[in-house]
Amino acid sequence: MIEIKNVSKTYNGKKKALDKVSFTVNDGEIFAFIGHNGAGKTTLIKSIVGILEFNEGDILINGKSIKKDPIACKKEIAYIPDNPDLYENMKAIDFINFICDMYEVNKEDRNKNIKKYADILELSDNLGDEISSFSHGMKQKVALIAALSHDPKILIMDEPFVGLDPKAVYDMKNIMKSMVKENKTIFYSTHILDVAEKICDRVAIIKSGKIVKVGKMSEIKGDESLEQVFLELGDK
Amino acid sequence: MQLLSLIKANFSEGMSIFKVGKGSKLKKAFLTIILFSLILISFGYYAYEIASVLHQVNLTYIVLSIALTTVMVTSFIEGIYKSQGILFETSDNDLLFSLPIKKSTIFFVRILKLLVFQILFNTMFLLPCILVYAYFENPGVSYYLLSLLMLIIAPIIPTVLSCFIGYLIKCLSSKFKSKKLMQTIFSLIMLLVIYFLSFSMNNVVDNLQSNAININNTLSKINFATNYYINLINKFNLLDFLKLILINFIPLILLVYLGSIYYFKLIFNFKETRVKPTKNKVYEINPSSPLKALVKKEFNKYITTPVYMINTLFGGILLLVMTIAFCTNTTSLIDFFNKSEDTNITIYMVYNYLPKIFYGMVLFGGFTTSITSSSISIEGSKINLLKSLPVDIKTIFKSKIIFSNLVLMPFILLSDLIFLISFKINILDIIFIILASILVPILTSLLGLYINLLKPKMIFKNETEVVKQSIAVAISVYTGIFLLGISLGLLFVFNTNLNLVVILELLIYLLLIFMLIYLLKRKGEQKFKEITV
Repeated sequence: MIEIKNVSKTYNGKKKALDKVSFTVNDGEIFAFIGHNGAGKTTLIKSIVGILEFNEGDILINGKSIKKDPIACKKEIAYIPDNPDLYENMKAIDFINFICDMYEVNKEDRNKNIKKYADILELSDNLGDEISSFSHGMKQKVALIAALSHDPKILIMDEPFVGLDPKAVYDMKNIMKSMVKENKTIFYSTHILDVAEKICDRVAIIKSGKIVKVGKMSEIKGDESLEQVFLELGDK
Repeated sequence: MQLLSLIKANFSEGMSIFKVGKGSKLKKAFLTIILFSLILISFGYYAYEIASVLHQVNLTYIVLSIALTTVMVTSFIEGIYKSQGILFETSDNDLLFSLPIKKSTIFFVRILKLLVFQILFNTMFLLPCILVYAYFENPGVSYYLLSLLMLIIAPIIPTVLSCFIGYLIKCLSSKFKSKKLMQTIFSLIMLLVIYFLSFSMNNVVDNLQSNAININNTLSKINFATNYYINLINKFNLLDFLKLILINFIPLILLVYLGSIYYFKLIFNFKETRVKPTKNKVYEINPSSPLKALVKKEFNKYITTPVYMINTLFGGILLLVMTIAFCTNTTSLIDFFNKSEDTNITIYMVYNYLPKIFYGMVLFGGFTTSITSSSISIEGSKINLLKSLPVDIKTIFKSKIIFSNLVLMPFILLSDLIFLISFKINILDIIFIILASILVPILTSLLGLYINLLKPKMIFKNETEVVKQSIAVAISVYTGIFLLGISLGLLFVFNTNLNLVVILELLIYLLLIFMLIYLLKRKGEQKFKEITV
């Protein structure tokens, strides 16, 4: 569970990127986080995973504060950024192994998980190649395998479908669904609203650093499409 | 217009070394001005000392000749790995190639950027010599105009040559699967060849040491641009002036022409995705502790970033080479000193002061190496990945400090071993040397890391901007040189009780280490948290 409590973040003491943001992402749900470019999505995601410090409020990861106990919180999370910034001169297998080392995954589990997700995402034959030789989509897959190989309880993703081929998007959606079945939490930002509409249980819409709507997908969109709701909110 | 916009865009990011601190423009540039002034004053002092001797025999111009040759050699060596970064490894390749700009324009702007950096750094060394010459010789206006021109054109020929070598290295590396690693290896081999050639020329220079005119003649033969300049300041001649212009600008024009054809082909070959699927390969996975994994990550980054490795290995390699030369040539060293009229150094004196001379060499190797001063910045946008991992900041700092010492200490300890095998010295001196060999690398690694945390440069187009042009590296290197200067100065001033001075120095290093550990805990961790990309 992710509990975001009155989180505010100001850049350089002037620009308010987040303004008293509060909502909860429950266990076993897929939660979509949508908003315009520059609305504050990435700032909130970076705050949840402990990359950015925020000025006010708190974020609890399974009851633990990211401010007070960042290591314990990070151990429960896997984070996939919008642009897969990986160590380009490492081989894919070495990078995944590095991430497993950071999460102190035992040899048996890491072997099992790496094989499982590399097979699903069809990257097994390229694990020995240097990441610098990969396309954007392949790098995204490496980031995904690395994130999933330590069996996280919470998966946080920033625009996860960007750059992935249709097959990989399909596989990714299946992975997300199977994780939810295991009562794991998925929180992701996206601009692909029709996918979010189909697979997400709940949604939050952010505008200029403030949450303007949060709730169950069916409640938020009613009889309209999520795209219509989003556009209407944007006009207000 | 197009060219001007491109120059503006390129230089606004690369020149961030001149934009340090917050507040007004003057305040931003304050630290840089102080650093540059310190270098100018120190070199001015040395140039004055040499010129005051040469002036008595009407040979003041040799100061200019030596200074120009020195900056040309350093421009050449530095250009080999700087060119690889500035010309090839910039992140704006895709953007620029998609715009309607001539390739020669893009290439020219990159060459210009490389040249401007060479000119700025050369100015710190050349300007004091030019002023010192003017002080002694009182020349006319033409001297100042010619010297200004020389400041600008001095790095052209060495930079053109180094660009060709950089191209060859990149060409060779592109044939391999691990291109970056091969690039580092080839760059290292190239520099070792240059070092070897320089040392093999020592015999020639040794025979000329007592004769300044011969040195100048030798330098002029190797470096004809300097020769024309020296002739021109003595007596202006239009033909020589034209020759000076042409021999510098023709190679530059040729480089821009050839570069716009071949460099870009190479960039695309280097970037080409060559993924060969390996069927059913089983990978041997061995878990490591987070700290060990982080150190391995540092190692991977180091060996695959030529400019990072070569720039920071300099002190260690030089110490090792100096130790070998010192241990194998002690008698010729005494002969060298005895050539000078006012010294009379005996073998007994050298052996008596030997441990302290070597102690000074260890300080030199340690204080001139600063790996950690760019180790935070070089993470670039990947710092976010590091910050998202479940490892505490202390472990990240430890990994960078351990790695830095794993690189530097073997060079120092190997030098210690060679020295201790070559000479029998007393136990107290052995303890001093070993303590210095441990304390100084630890001190410089802590210092570099702390300075880098205070002045990180997280956004860059290529790693050369971080390793060669960041304010953190400049501050770390000059702080190291300052500490070295103070340490050696104390040994010279209080030479009647050297053991006491060494003990005092070692205690100060230890104190500084504890201070830096405290600062890293107290402020460094917070600074790390505040870094955003």
